[in-house]
Amino acid sequence: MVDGAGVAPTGYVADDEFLYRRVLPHYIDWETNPPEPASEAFFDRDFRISVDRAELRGYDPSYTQGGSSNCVCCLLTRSVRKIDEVVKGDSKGGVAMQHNVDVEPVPLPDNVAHAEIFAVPHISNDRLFRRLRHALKRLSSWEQGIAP
Amino acid sequence: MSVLTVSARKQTSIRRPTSDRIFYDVRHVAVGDDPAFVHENFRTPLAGTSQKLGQMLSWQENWNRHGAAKPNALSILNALRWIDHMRIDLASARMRWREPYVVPDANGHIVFEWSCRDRTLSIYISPDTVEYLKVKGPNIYSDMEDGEIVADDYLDLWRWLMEPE
Repeated sequence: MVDGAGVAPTGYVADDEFLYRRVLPHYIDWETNPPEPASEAFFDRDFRISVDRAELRGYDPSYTQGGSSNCVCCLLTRSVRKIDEVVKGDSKGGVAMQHNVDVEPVPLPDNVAHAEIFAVPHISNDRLFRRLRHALKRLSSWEQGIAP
Repeated sequence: MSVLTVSARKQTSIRRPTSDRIFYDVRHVAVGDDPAFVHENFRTPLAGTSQKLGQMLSWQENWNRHGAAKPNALSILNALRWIDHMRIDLASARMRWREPYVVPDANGHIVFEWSCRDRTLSIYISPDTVEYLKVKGPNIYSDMEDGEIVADDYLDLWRWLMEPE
């Protein structure tokens, strides 16, 4: 199974792979200079953030863009995996749970480049997930040509 | 036709107008049976935010095509009240106001977000709670702090956001 770019997807997302994330106009903070993606641009109700593997998109972000009014930002997988452990504290000031952040391919019938950023163990608390979204916002950069 | 007129007049009595105050008259003048026409001459400090929140009331389920919930009307109402209180209290404390970036989150609750230099302050408003998240870097543990906002905690949050270290 190959995608339109003629690249066969692998079962592992390498550290040096770039990831594309579509950013709708509603999720661009125009109050900053230059405009930035808002942290909510990385939300997902399942607590797994959908991205496209840039190599499998032929390094063409327009496949991810999905509409001329949308923008695309880019993340490096190595940076995502280096996000510090997401730690949930307990009421006594100790560590109740630690999470690591990873990226895995989740090819779809209409998108073999699809992958997901997620925490292990799974995060089901939005208060904790917000921190991950903010970290991804800080690690992302606009993709040239598809920026606000 | 009814006409609402707003006129600015220079105060010539003992109270001298300052550079940041305009004294004005608002008079309703009824002319015929047409409904009154009201024209906004001055933009309010929350005009943009209020407009965006009002628009969200009409957004539907999956408005972002990524499964987002329909914006919660009670969250929107709570957000409007809360941000108005915040703005008034900041003005009383003589702190400079900036309108936030505003968007509904995945669950239909309201997020206000401000960025200043390398800092970000996010406020999350649901019908029952108001929570904050302070961010000054990508380190999830050492660069971020969250909690529930109680009373006028936002004054300290605003100082942290706006004032240099």
